[in-house]
Amino acid sequence: MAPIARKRREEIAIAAPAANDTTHDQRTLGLDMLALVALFLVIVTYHLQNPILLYDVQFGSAFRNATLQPVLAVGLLGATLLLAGDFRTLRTHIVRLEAVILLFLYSLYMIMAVIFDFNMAGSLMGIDQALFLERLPDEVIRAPLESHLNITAFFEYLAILAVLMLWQPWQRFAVYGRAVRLNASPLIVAIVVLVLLEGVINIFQIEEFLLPRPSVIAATFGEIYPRLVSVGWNTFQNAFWGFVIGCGAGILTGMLSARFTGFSRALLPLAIGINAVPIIALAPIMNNWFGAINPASKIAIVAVLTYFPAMISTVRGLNSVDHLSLELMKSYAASQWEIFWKVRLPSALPFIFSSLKVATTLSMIGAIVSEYFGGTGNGLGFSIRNDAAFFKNAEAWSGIVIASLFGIGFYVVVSAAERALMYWHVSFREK
Amino acid sequence: MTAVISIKSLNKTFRGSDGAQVQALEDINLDIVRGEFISLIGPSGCGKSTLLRMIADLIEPSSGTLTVNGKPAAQARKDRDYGFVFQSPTLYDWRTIIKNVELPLEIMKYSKEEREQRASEMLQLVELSDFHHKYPWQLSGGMQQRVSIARALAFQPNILLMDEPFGALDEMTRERMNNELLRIWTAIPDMTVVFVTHSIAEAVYLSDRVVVLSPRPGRLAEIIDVPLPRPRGPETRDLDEYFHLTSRVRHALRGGTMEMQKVKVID
Repeated sequence: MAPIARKRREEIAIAAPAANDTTHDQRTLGLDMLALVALFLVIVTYHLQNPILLYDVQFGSAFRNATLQPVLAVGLLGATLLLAGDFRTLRTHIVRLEAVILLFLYSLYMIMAVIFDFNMAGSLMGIDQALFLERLPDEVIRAPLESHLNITAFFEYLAILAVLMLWQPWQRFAVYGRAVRLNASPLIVAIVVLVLLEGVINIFQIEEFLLPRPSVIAATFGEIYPRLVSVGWNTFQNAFWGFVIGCGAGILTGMLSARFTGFSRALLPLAIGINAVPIIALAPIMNNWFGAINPASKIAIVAVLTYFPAMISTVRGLNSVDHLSLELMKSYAASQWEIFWKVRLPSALPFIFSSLKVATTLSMIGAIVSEYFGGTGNGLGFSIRNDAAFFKNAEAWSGIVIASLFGIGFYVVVSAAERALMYWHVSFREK
Repeated sequence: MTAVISIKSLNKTFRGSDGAQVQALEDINLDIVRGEFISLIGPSGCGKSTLLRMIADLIEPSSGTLTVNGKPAAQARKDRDYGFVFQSPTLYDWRTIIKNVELPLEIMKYSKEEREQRASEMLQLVELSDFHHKYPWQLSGGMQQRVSIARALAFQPNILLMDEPFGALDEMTRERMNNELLRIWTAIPDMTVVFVTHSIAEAVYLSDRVVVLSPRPGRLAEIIDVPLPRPRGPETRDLDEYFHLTSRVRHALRGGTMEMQKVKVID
């Protein structure tokens, strides 16, 4: 029996190598992305909590958007919790535990300061809280705010140190080496394309108002990004809420129509038909329904745009269950609800998530293009259209860059959620 | 001896893809007694799986009566009187091994403690105690099938229905699984096993009786008693009686295809 037992253990060892096994390094860049996001949020929130940085410094003013600020502060708390990982393993690592506690306190301080307008450090230093709400601090009140800045900079450095301790990038060079090797060719292609573009525009002396050089776009982006981040965030919110409403409704009705097969058979052909309609063409009509300056008209477009893919994938996913799995549940005399919850829904997740990932891109398209048909002046689509109309092409291209940054960010977040919920799926197992 | 499963003049017809009626099973009469290990064997398409699925009430017979534990098959299914093991392990990838074994217990509303206790007992029975928190895809095919047997037995049914459970395994693993199955069957008193297979060796080695079905439409060709001594082990396969019985099953199976072969020879 002993050799057989050993054999079995070996099979397992091959199938699931231990995390510290250097020959089968399973680590991905997930932690690095999370740590970079955390670092970014530590620095950004530091800029948000003091009016000097918020109004006088370009980087701080980029994140001044009133609805963006609380999201960044809460996001820092979320990143802290994700970085902390499993609390049970924290207990044995004192340094990690201390780093997590430090970051947690820093996040709470920022949430109080940014969302609830109560600056704890300021209050300890005896600075009037009203000063932190000043828009353009004059010389008289500048002095206490500057000393506050010096003190809180120390907190910021501590928080950065804490992220580094949790991240430990110096132990991850092997991961970076592999990532560079795997992604070398797309990186080289991207660089070559940019360099070629720059060269071709130079050689053929293409006018700047037709196609600005990449370096010009980059310089313009560096100048105007505070405005772009703000208008981009406004548009992204439309995309996000449209995504939530459209995909939420799509998944729900998909579930209903998978449950009642007659309903599904009657509805699905119609849904597929409607899905073929270029829905963006409805934008002027939505403007009439909800009003062009009402964000609801943009959200409605995004919702309609993302609804059908989500619904069709949900129905398809719920109906693509292995039939033996269903017979197994039947042999247990399981209820419809149990079959749905324990088999159909987990089997449908891959389908649902692939439609959600498509919907992230669709929602950004919908939110931007719907603004081309009119809207408030503070959206990204409006800004791109305006800049292009006045031949400020470098500005328009910078807008396009920020649009794709928001789109990529959205996609990455949904992909991360997919990875977290479907860790068991074949596409996420060891390669 | 009471009949646990009683089948009387059972017929099953399917409607084929061209709309024509296809007779799958014809006039099946069979009584299976408590504690018996019985195998159904026959060529592909003879309806042996169909018969097993009708016992399990996964499909309905066209005519005839079928009782399980003295009840109509549908009632027996609702009372969870049997455990079913499919040809493929049919484990859920999103559940750990122990959670897969707990699945029927969750549906039957067992308490959390009882679920965990029974599931670990069953995993011990199939000798997979070290694998509670692994995922199915981290296990080999034979191990996965053992998990599915543990799952079928978790709620202590007194009937185990098995549909070619080892058909996808290699010969060596299959023989080891045969021994494990016999060990499990002996460990649980009064457990009735209905075992569908297309392997003559497996059927004879495991069973008290081998039911041979003829090709379509499936009829009972012969029921062969297997009086080999128990407990059985590797030495059983060397007995003269074992060879004799396997060739009897082979002849019974050939009985149905004899005419076809003759026709071929004349051609």
